Parts: sequence; C-alpha cells; structure tokens
Amino acid sequence: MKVLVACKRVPDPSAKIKVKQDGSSIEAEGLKFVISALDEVAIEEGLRMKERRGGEVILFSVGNVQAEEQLRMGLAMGADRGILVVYEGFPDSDLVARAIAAIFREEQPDLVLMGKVSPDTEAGQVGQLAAEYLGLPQATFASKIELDADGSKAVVTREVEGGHERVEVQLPAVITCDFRLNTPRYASVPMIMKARAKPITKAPLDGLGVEAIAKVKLRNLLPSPQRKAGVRVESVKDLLRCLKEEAKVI
Amino acid sequence: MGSILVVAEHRRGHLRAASLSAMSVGKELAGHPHSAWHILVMGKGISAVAEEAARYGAASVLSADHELLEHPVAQVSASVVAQATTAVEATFIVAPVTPWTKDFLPRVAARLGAGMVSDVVGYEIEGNTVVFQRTMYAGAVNAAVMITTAVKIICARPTAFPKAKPEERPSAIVPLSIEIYPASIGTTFLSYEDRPSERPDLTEAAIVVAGGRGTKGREGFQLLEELADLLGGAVGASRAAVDLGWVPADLQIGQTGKIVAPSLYFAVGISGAIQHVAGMKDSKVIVAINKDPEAPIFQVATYGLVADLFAAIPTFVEAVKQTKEA
Amino acid sequence: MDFSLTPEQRMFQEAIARFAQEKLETYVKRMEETDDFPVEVFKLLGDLGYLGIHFPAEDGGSGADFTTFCLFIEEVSKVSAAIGVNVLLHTLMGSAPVFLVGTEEQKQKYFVPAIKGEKIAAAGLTEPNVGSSAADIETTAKKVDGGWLIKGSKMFTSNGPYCDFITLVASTDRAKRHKGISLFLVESRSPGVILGPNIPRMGIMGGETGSITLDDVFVPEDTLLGEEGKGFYYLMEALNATRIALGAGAVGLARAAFDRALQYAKERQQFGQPIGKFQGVSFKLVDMALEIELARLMVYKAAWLLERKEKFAKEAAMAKLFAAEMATRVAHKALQIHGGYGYTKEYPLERYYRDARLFEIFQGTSEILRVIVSGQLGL
Repeated sequence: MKVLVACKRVPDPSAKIKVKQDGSSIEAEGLKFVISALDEVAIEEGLRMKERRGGEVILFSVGNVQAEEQLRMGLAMGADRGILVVYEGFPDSDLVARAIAAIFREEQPDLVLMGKVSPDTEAGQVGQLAAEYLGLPQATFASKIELDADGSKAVVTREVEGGHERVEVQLPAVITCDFRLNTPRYASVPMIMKARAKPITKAPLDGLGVEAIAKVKLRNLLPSPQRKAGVRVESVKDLLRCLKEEAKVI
Repeated sequence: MGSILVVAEHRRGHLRAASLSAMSVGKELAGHPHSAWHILVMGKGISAVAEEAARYGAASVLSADHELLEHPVAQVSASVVAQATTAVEATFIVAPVTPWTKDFLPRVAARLGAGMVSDVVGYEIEGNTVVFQRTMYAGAVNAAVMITTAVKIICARPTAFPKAKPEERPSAIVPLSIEIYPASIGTTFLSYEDRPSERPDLTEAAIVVAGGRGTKGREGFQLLEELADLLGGAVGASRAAVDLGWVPADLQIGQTGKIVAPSLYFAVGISGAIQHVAGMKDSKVIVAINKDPEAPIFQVATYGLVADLFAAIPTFVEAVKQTKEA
Repeated sequence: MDFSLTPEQRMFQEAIARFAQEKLETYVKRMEETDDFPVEVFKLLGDLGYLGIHFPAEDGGSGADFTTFCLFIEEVSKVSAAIGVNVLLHTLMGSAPVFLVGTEEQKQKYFVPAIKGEKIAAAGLTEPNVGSSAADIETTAKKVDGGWLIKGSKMFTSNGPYCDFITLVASTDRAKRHKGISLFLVESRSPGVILGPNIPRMGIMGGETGSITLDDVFVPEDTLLGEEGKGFYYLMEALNATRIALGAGAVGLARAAFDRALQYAKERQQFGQPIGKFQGVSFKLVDMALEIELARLMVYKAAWLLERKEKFAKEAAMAKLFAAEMATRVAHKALQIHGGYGYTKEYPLERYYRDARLFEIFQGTSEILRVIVSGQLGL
C-alpha cells in the first residue's frame, strides 16, 4: 500500500507570533518549527496502514529548504522517504494542491493523507483542491478510517455538525484527518538514527510542471488586536451583579 | 462583474443563522458595483427553506431539490454549486463557514479555477478590488488578501457579520435542475448519526458555557449543563475535554473546532491556551472561573473569578435561580 | 572546534524534550505527593530506545553516542530530576558494567532486558559506614562451593525498593582493599536479600532509594561480573561516566528554574514595571544564564572526551562539581525572583530548590570531586 502524506513545517503552536514591520511575513527569527500536529496524525495513520499491509509511506512538503528538518522528523517516525517541493514564497493553497497533484501523478499512491487544517495559515483547503484536480474522491475530518480487505475502498467516519457521518470512498482518494483519528507515536532513538539514511528528494515547482501562480495574494499582515484582561471578581455574588447590572448579559 | 451567488445552508427545515450572515455579505457586495445577488439552497424536500430564503431580497432563489441531495457527498454539492454558478453567471460565490462548506467548497474553486479565501472576518472594497481579512496563527495575525481570479469564492465567518434582514419583495424561486452521476463519483454516503439536542446551536447561542480539563469529567460537565439550561445557553468544551472523551467532538471550541462569539461566554476550568482563545475571543463578555490564578484565560476574561468550579458553579446557579424568582 | 550538535542529536533533543513535556510531566505531581517511582516509565523509555542510547545496536542498544545520552538526561531532568536521576543510575551504574565486562550469558540475562526497561537495575555501592571511602567496603563475598556467600548491607541504593537485580560491590579479599573488590550480579529476589523501603528525603521525590541487606546470600559462580579483584576499577569507570550525565541532569534542572524565573521577571510588575527591568533582578538572571552555559560546556566537553576514548576523569569530576553547585545557586536565585509565590507549593521553584541539593552529594560529593581534581593537578 503506497500512502502519500503531508508533513508541513509550521511554527511551534505555543510560540508568540510577531509580524515583521513591513507586514510582509511573520518574524521567523528565533522561532521553533515543528510538524503540523494534524499532519503527524496523518503520518501515524499512514504508518499503521503500512504496518498492517506492507507498502510505503512517502512524505511531502511544499515550502522553503528548512522544511527538510520536519521531513527528517517524519522519517524518524517511520516513513520511508520524503519529497520536498522547494518554494520560497508564501504558498497559496491552490499552488500547494497543484504540486500535490503533480507528485500524485508521478508516484501513483493508493491514498493521500493530510491534516484537515494547519495551525499557521488555517485555510483547510489543500486536500479538497488536490482531490478535485485529480478527479479523486475525498473524505474530510476523518476520525476513523477502515480499509477493506483488498485495499480498494475505505469507510471513513467524519466529524461533522452534530455528530458523525460515514462515507465509503474508492481508492485512490484524499482523506484529511481530525485529532480523534489516532495518537501519533514518538520517534524512537533507533528510528532517529535511521532517518539520516532515508532519501529526501528536492524538486522545484517548475520541475514538476507547476506554474507558480497564486490565486490568492497576500497584501500584508498585521498583528491582530489582542483582547485585554478585565477585572477580577471576589465572589459569585459579585460576578452575578457585574453580569446583570454592568454588562447586562443576563 | 457577474452576479453574486450565496450558498445557504439549512438544518431541520430552517435556514441556519450562519447563512443569514453570508447573505448580508452577498447583498452588500452586490451593491459594489451594481449587480444581482442570488441564493442557492439544496436538499431534499426544501420548498419551505426556499420560501424562507425568498424573503431576503435576493434577485432569485435557486432551489435544487433532489433525492440525492439529502446527504450529498462533496463532489455532489460541488457539482450543484458549479451548475448554479453558471446558471446565474456568478463571479462571486459567498458561503458561510460550516463543516459542510469547508468540506466541498474548495472543490468548486478547483473546478472553476477560482481563488478561495476561507474564514473571512472582514473586507474592504477598494475601487475595483475587494481586500479580504482573515486571521492566522490562532488569531494572532490578521492577513489582508486579494483574489486574483475572475471568479472568486469566499467563506464568511458567521460571527463576524450581521444577519441579513427580511425585505418586502419576495424573490423568485427558480428550480435548478441538476445532473448528478453517482457512479462516477467514487464516494457513497453510508450513514449520519445525528445527536438531537434541546439546547441552541453552539455557533448561534447568545450564551455559551464551556468546560475544560478542570471539570475532571462528567461530574463537572453536569454542573455546566445545569447552568447552560438555566440560562438557555449552549454547552461547549476545550479540546482537552474532548480528547479525554468527556464530551462529543462537535462541542470543541477553538482553532481546530468551532469559532463562537456569543454575548456571554463562560470558560470554566479552562486554562486558556491560545488555540482555545482563538475560538471565543470575539465574545462580548468572557467570564473565567479557574482555580489557578496564573491561568492564561484571565488575560482575556472580562470578569475573572479564582475559585473551585465545583463550589462556584452550584453557588452561581443558586444565585441565578433566586434572582429569577425575585 | 565544533560546538554544534549533529542533525541527529538536534532531532533527538527535540523528540525527547517533547516526550518529557507531554508524557513525563504527567507523573510529577503524583511523585511529589507519594514519593513513589512510576516504574512503568522504564518500559516506556525502553521501548523508545532511550535507556540504551549509546550502546551498540547489536547488543540491544540504540547505536547513538554518549552525548546523546547526556542530552536525554538533560531534557528529562528539566521536567523531572527524579526520573532523570533514577533512570541514569539504572543505565550507567546498574547496567553499563554488565555491558562492559559481562559474559554473553550475563548480558542476555541482565543487560538486554535492562535496556529494554523490562528489568530494573540498582547499583549497590554505598553502605551505612562507607560513602566517600569506597575502598573500605564492608560487604563481603566469601568463596564457597559453587559460588559465594554475601553478607553485608547497602545504603541509599537508587531503585533499590523495586529493583530486579543489583550490580553489587563486595569485598572478596578485605586485606587487598581496593584490589580485593569485585562486582556481582545479585537477583533481588534471592533468599537473604532484603530490599529496604524508600527512605524519606528532602527532595528528588519519587526517586526511590533504600537500603539493601544481604543476609548470607548465596550467589552461584556465574554471578561474578568480570574478574575477581577488578571491581573497583570497573566501578570507577562507570562512576566517571555517571558524573558527566549527572552534570547534564543538573543543567536540565537549572534550565527549568531559569526559564521560569526569566518568564516571571518579564511578566511580574512592581513599582509600575516588570521586575526584570530592575538590575537587582536582571543581573541575577544574567549570572544564572552564564553559569548554566558554562556547566553545559563542561558537561559536553567531558562527554566528547569520553567518546574519543581520551582520559576524562578530571573533566567528569569538574563537570559534576560545577554543575551541581551551579544548580543550587540557580535554583536559589530563581526562587528568590519569584518572591512569596516561589515559596509556595503551587509553583515548582521550591521543588527545584530541594531537588538541586542532592547533586552536590551523591555519586561523588563535591569535596571528593575536589580531591580527585587536585590529584589530577599533581597536588
């Protein structure tokens, strides 16, 4: 079973994000970067499929050259090889999706997995865009994936409004993952040692035949106005009085 | 410029409040420059929904009413929207941000070669272009973006826009006949497990009572549920509470869950991680109740009470009951 | 001179820091309250290959290096010095000698399972009457038919209360002093072995340590580890490596205290500004940062010498000596910066303060380490 999995480089979610003076990007200096947590869930799912059915887990990332660090961490979890599509600009969801489509056509995997959204740009579109470009079925917000015996279909439980939906998709398909899907493994020391020898191929966008045109352009970034702290109340009685008389919300 | 198409979502026979927010955006965009705006409703047996949509002054309501649209899979919803877009020659598609639209709308974007911006919280019309605002990095950063393609798709965050108001003249309801080829889709709907609730929709409620790790499980959540019911509010949760299996996943409020902006938000036993705050910081009044005086939640709370929720919530409930009787 | 970590070491550091923060952190509160060691941690760490980081893969290790092991101890100790210490001693004092001089059978029976976290090792060295003067070991092993009879008692044996085997230091010939000391592998459930209970202590809560009484314990021939009479030298080798790793642990602990103090100094306001703006506070933080950096450099230089198989006894002693005393100074300052809150149990500063204190004592008191270095200086 060949699984293609996203491995996006994102800032550590607990880091304080600052915007550069000129508003062109965030201040990356001194920031710690990690693999997007939902992509880790996707990688874990791919690894479990490989453990059960044999095959290969291939990681991909579209971004700057430092993204190789996160691909190595993904390889240390147990993936087999990585593909880094080098693009130095601010990757637009559509551009990333077209890059994935190009990789898919070369690799012909059985399944494409990725987190349902990433914690930096939060667009949540890439999987669905790629599925449409490739004419593939999709299942988003997966909390459970059950492959059938011959690996030709999957029943996916999706987290939707008010409950769960179950759909059956023919493979190959694109599935985006929710946190409830699994708990990702920690990289073991032997696996970290092995990660060095695993191949990461770098491919520039034009090498894949992907036009570097963004459909959504960033004009500028600004720090968001942050909410300020209010007051402390001493008692429940005090709180109720404030809510009733001051704020008038009860 | 072509027309605006607003994709409206309905639930249990009524338009969702989120759709009304998208409609007000569609209506305003239609004024600059002058063009028509239309509403699309799709589903099975939706004539009442179409009539409701017809009260908001759109040029027309396209109604796609079909067996296969009761539980449409992504390709099917996308197909319907694409066909509706062609039917009214729309160059702008506006939808509310919901799990349904997040799932299928990007497919429309790819199909039509349209740029799509999700979770729009504001916009400015500058001459011929529209600059959209959206947030990133768990609400830390505001991005001003522009769509470079002729056809544009935006998903509007419901809490950021007012609800459209009904107008006098009803819109024409135009049935949209659609072509769907189930066999070619490769995706089959199997089942939908709905959890009906007496409580208001989490994203629509005026009052939300949310619990986190501090509730220690069902015991704590029961107290919160009592409070929510007393105030006629909805119950929400932090990701921790969901991960620990204390409440269903669709109660999660935060960066990877729901974004809410009620008049009153109670954060009970919630430490206030950035990712949670991103989902509720636009609430009018935030009340934090937490044992830990250093919890980050106090930095965003309008009113902060350092207390044990197991004592504070019952006391608060009693106090509210007393004022109600008075 | 290359001061950088290799890409593997950096990946490793990131992975263990995360594991420590996400998983090991969850044990801290219970350990403080009950002083119980969460023994399941051995298997957790063993499964991820952390217990045998620097041992060859073909012997059951992870095939990395000693520097990586020190990074492991540093990051774990930042979250829990107690887990760092007891795991370190299990590997470097309890298990490493078996790898170094054990027979194939002994390695299979003890080393391999210990590295997997399936068996817990305790090193029995210190005795009620013998601490720094290690050559005066009173526990004796008398040769008898088919093996030895061991009589004596051990004190402050880390992991003692729940260990599966003891790498025991006993005298096989008291007249020969340090040349008459041998190492034995004693099953903790052997008849005559009494594992004493956890000893209530000031800090390193959960890092259980107890006495072990050996009441005419018969151990067969094949429990002798290495050569008779060479035990003291095996011990010194193990101790030198242990001291470097303990230095790393002290650095981790100090970093935890420092990070807290730095954050607090930026947030806490008095007299209308963050207290970090006052030089009385900022100068303390500078000194803390400086000393942590110096200790770390000494620790990793010693580790580097060990890896290159160069002499490192002096550097190991210096590393532990400086790092231990530094940890106490840093924890003291960090608590002071937190003022009243630092003194409460709601904040971890008082734990860091109590935990730091042991580092100047065990596995070579600061006084003994100074004696060792003065010897190296030819005094």
